[in-house]
Amino acid sequence: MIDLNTLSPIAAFALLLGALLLWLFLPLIPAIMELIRPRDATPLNAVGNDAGRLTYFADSFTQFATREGLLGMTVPARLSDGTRVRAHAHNAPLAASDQPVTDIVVLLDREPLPENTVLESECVARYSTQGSAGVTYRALLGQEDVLLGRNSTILRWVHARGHLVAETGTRLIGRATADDSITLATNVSFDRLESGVVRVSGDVAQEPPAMATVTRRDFVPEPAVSMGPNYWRVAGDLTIPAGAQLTGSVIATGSIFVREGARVNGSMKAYREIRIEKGVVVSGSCTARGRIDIGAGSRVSGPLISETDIYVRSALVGAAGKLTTVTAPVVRLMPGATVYGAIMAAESGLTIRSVP
Amino acid sequence: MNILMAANIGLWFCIVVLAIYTVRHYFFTLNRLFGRHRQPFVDVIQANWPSLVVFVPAHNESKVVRDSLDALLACDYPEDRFTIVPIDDRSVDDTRAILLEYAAAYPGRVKPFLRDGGIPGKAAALAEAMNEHDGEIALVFDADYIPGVRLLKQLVAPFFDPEVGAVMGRVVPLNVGLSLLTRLLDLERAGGYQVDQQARMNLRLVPQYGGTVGGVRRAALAQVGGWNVDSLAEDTDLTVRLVLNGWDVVYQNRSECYEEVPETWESRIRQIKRWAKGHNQALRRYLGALIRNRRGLPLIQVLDGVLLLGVFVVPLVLLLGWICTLTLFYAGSPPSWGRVTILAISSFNTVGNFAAFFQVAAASRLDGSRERIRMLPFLFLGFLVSTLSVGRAAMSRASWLRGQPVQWQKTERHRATRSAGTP
Repeated sequence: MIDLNTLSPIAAFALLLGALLLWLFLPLIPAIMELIRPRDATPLNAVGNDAGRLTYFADSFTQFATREGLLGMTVPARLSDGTRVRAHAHNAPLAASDQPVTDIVVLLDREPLPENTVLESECVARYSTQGSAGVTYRALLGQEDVLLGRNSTILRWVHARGHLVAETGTRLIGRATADDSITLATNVSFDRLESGVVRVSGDVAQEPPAMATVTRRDFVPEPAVSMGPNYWRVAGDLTIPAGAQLTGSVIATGSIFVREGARVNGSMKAYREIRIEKGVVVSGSCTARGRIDIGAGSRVSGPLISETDIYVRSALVGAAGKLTTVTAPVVRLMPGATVYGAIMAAESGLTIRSVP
Repeated sequence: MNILMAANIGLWFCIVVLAIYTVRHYFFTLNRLFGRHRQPFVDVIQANWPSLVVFVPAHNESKVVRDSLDALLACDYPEDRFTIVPIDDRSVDDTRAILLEYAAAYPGRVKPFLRDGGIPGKAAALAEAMNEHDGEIALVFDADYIPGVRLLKQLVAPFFDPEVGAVMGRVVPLNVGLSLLTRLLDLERAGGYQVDQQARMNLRLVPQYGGTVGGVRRAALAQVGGWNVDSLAEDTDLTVRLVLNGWDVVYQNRSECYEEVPETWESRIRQIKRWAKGHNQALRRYLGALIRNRRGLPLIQVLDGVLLLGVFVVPLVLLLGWICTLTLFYAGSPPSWGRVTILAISSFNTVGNFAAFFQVAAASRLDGSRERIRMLPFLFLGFLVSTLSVGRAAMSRASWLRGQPVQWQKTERHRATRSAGTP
């Protein structure tokens, strides 16, 4: 032990200085170790491959399934990593069981799976498949049409090379995509949908007339601040009267109400809500911090973007060949709602009969 | 007023300013850790995409411009609505030849804009090039940036909101592991984008358009008077003018793009000084307009705008605080309200000085980084260099006076040169 009383002043100072430097050096030890032997010095894996491509997992699995021979004429008993594969067909069906199926399942023909089957691995349907009620799929790749029976569940993704139909009570967790179309019954929940056309059955969307059937009155918002040619900013609420025509884009710091039969040849943004009544045509987009409500018989060509919720009644969003996006934390679609493109519900998507 | 009173007032002014910035740092960080992540446009994946022109200003960029053009050409934006305009502004290396080579290889898609005269600098080059090209949306990428396949759509998506005048993506360093400096810059960038910019987006404040990995709506640019060609920081200048005129600036945290950060301290110091001078110039130009607030912006936005513009004055304030403290100490006159002052100073030194570190640490956690957080103590070194550089820049005439000549301030490139046709 050092007797501090016998230390010379210089030695005591040196000791104190040394202790101080050691104290300061301590937090640098991990830093110096990381600098000398880097363990985390690669660029952030930031540019995600799957971002914005809903079919990413389906495409990746298709490549995998092709490599493993799952899409060929015969089904291998095991994959190259040892995973077991089970075939399901009319002459060799899977037995009904309370136990989940952990193997990859290949549906060789149109024979439905037993009701309430739980598939914990991916499932490949070689032909059109008619799902039974209550089946749970981890992921389902349909080479033709896919019909999900009542109360089915998709846990990660489903992709149909043809049409995808979901019967009532189905839960589409994750991604649901189809090359041709997606048709949803009411009481179907979803997260992300994408197809050439997504519609809710039970009603037919009434298309607003392509050409004006009456002489329209040009409408210019007043009072408003001009932000350029045909570009306005309105303080507070804005109402576009029935049958009027607004040519340009408008931002309102309150809500925007578009009355029956009006036309907006531009885009709209509201700090609160956008409410569109029957038979309205909007050629641009609708963006709102609050709710967007699209009335029956209306058409919006551009994206619908809300920071809270979107309700689409028996109306059209987008057009064939001009796909668009509906995105909000909460999305509610009613019978007849037809969206050409993608629907993204970050928190809750649901098809409902009417607004509660 | 004697010198002691002045020092007292000066000290308290410094304490208040630094405290405001400290609170701002912590507030933003806590928002990112516990607040709602606001990204309303990230899921717009299908749309009738508007016409787009991507400008790539280049001045002696032969080492890097090929990578950038190749990455842009690989983007999934509809080809019939998308033109790439690389701008060569009086390069003396092979940049021009490379651009002409790409124009020949991709006719109609790559249309170089070549400059041999006029006012030098990025803003002037952009202003002239934009006059030659239509397109509802103009995106700007520096020549060393490498976008991912979907980045253009991600950056254009916010413009479906008619209020959005400009958009900014996230910059991610590519050359992280080369030196202590690049590792520190990686941490700083993470803190700046993952926390600072996104928090301002969450809170509807003033995210900054950063001049690259971003873009502007042509109608908005025209309405605010186009690019200020004598601006030393055309991005900050444009951000403030857009906000003052009622446009929104949107930050897209998921729209990431790789960049090459400076690899030498000399480059880094030049970069910081350029930013500082530009910010200070914008502060001088727009502080009055922001405070007058004739457009009736929300007060919180005005405050954030002022703090954004003043961020490069903070080191000067810190310096002033030290001078005041020393003056009072050696004059044998302790600050008035001595205990309160000591409490304020010690609070700042125990908590306040670590605000920026807290921000960087939170960013690393949000990014899912595990080990790079160990480099955090070295950030003292980076901050010391930044503080001194910013202080020197703040003393320069260019920061505050009108009519200073604008010139290209280029960051040195270190990437290995790639010849035509090589991957």
